[in-house]
Amino acid sequence: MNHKKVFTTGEAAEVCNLSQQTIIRCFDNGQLLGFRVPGSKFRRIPRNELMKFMKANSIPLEALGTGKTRVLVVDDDPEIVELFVDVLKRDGRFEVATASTGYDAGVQTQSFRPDIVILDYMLPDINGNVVCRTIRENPELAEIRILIISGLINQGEIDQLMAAGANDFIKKPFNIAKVIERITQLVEA
Amino acid sequence: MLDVPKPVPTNPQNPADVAEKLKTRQVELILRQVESVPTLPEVATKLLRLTTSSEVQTEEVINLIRADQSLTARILSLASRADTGLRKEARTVGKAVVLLGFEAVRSAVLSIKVFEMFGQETPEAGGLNRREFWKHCLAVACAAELLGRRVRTGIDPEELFICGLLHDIGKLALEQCLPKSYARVVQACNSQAGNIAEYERQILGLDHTVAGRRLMQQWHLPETVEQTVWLHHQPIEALPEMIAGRQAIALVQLADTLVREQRFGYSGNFTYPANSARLASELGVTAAALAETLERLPSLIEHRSRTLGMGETTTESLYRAALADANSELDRLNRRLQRRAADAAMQVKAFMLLRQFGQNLSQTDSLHDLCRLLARTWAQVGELTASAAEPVAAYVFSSADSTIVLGTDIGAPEPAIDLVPAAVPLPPEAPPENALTGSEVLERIADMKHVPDSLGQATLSHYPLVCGQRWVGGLFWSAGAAKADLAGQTAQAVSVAMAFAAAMIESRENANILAEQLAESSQRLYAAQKALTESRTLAAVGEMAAGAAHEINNPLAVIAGRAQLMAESAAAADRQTWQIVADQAQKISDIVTEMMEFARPPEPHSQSCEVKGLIDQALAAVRQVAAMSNLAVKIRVAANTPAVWADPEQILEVLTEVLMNAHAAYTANPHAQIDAGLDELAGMVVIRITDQGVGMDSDTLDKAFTPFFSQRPAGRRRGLGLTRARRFVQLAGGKMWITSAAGQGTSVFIQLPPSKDANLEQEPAP
Repeated sequence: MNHKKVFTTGEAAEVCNLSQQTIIRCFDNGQLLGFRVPGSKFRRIPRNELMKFMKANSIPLEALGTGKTRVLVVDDDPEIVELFVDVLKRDGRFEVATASTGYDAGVQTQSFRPDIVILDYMLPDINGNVVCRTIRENPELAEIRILIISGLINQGEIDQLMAAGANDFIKKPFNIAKVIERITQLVEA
Repeated sequence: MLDVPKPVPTNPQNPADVAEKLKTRQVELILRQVESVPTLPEVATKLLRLTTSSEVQTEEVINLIRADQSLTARILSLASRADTGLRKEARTVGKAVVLLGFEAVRSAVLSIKVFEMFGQETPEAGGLNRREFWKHCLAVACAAELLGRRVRTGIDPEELFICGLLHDIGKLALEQCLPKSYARVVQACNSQAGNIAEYERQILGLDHTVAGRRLMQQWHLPETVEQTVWLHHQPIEALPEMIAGRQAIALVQLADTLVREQRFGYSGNFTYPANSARLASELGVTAAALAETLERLPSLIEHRSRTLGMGETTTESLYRAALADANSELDRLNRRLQRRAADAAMQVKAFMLLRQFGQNLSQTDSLHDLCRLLARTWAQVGELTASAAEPVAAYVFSSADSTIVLGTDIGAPEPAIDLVPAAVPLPPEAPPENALTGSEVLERIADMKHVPDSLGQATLSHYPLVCGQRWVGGLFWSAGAAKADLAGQTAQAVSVAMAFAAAMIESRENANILAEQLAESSQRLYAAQKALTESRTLAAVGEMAAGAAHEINNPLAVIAGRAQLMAESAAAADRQTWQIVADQAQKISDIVTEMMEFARPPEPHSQSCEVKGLIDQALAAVRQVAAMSNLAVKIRVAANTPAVWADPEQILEVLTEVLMNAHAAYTANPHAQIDAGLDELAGMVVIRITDQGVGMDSDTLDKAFTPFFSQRPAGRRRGLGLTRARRFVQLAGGKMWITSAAGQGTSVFIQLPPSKDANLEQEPAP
């Protein structure tokens, strides 16, 4: 539900944990604003209207999705992973999942459906460029951005990663503010 | 006609060479045949090995003689003729042996058996007259024995008798093997009254001394006998002291000369190396002893020849025959003497020249000096007067540098030396055939552009110097100018020594050059090894830095990241501290990056860059740093400086680094000078950056390019700057070096290849 801009009454009912009837009633009585699909009777509720409605009626917003950017952090160094989690959580605009191997990263990509993967190049099982290629070969995952962050600075290897489908590269150690800026830029692009 | 010397055989296909080879093979064949000449009968060999010391052996000898009937008869007859006054008593071999003495019996038996073996009849018509030959041998034997009794030699006179008897035995051996050829030897020798040994060598390839020696070895005769047979023609002074039986050889020589002077028998030798009186005085034999020997000789010969069954020729008839022979020969001898006198005069000249040449040679150690010496000596040989119109020149090939060292004497105090490029590959092939004139030879071997006119314009004769098979040099002189024969024996003798000297000095120079080249290449090897070690070290550093980059950057990222987080949440007072932590972590990472980039530098993206532009950019970059904006720089770029071929980014870093160092060399008023231009010799552009700052002592200078070395312990910048700069210059295919002295400033030289489009031939702009 994270990226939905417009909801059906069924979806809105699910998000608000109410019956569809209640949603229809509220829509019809003007409590919940929306529009009808032209040439039909189907109701549609824009996200911001749904959110206003939920807030006005004190319905928890979780099910609507946060509106936050979903970030998957992949690094075999737990300290690095933890640092990213802290940094991103503190910012508040991000939802974070983590993986410490290439395999984990694959699983998480499927289930968590991140907007962006922050990928260390050197992983214990497979190298970052393999992860990149695997993601890029799946059309369902085409929208996912990949940001490589690594201690390696060999230009040749960086070029390889970019060719394998990475969107950008940032060298460790990094400036926190710049990393966050880069993440937002990549996701919005 | 030109004075063209005899050809020197060097070509293996040359018929003369083939003949030479065949002759060598023939000699081997003859020597093998000599070995197949029957061995001495047992009685003779046994006797030779025995001494009187043993009773049993004496008994054995007596038995051996008894077993041989003819031998018994002869020994008894010998004893009865012996001047003992006891002739009636000598009826048994035993008594005869006692009477005669063991040694006398021994030599008698040996002579008898040898005579029996070879016989007294000449096998081939015109061959060696056996009867006369034996007469000669016997006479020499007797004379040697008589002399041996007069002179204290420590050698048994009977042994001297054997030496004398057998000294020419080789002639019989040769005749036995090759009767027809030997007949030719005898005829040739007789017709020219020469020394038979020379004709033996000419016709058979070896002479009787060598064949005789082989036979003596075969017969196991004592060493004294063997040496006498072998060496009796050698001048006694020429024999080393250690030769066994040197004295025996000398006495046999004297005996031989004495006997031939008296014309006893026929030896085939009509030459006299020295007369008997001289030989005798050298040996310490008094004139009286010699006279006495001569007096007693005929009777002894007669006595001995009877023993040996050599017929009943009396002493008187021997003398008559000898006198007749002598008269017929005298005339021939006289003519021969005249010829020899002429030869001797020539030899004296050659000898004098050679001696002088040898003396001068000892002070000569270069081909230059040698050529001067050769030219001067040759002028003396040919009695040439060198002048500009009639030059004399010597040349030697110097294969090490493919030149011809040419010494030309035109009458100046010192012959002039020219180094003339060779027109043929050196070492040259066989010397030119005689059909070529000297001028033609010169044109063939030398680049005429470099030959002095005096030589180039003269009509020349040529004499090649050949050592072994190698053509080492030669001599040129104005054709027809020689007053003495330059094709004769004197010239030949001197040329042999010259050729040898030339070959020797040339190979010594070659060895010198080789040694120099070796030293040079070992130096190059050392440099290459140093470079290799350096690049290996760099590769290892690169590997390590790459590993370190990953390992170090992770914790650095954590430190820097955490510090940044703390800085955000900390109170204002602590915020700066946290920021410093973050920045320093970043700095560590930068060092690691720099190290890795230094060891594995990025490939330069070379392109054509204007030197002036690069300098201006670097200067601007340096002046942008606030602390260095006061750096005063004078720039002089020569008008003909071509663009360089390099990565502009990297060269910019290099220049910036050097300029920053120049600035750091001053405490106040920093200034530097930059000169750029083309080093035409190296074909490279050189940029020199000079400051007059503190400079470096030699220790510091040595380490200037060492990574992380800095002479300023405090407040220094990271120590990879110069090392990295040189690396970039090297990547561009250039060189970077520093000269400096403490207190006098520093000059940094950056040498870079000119751009590929630059035209180096271009004249500088006016």
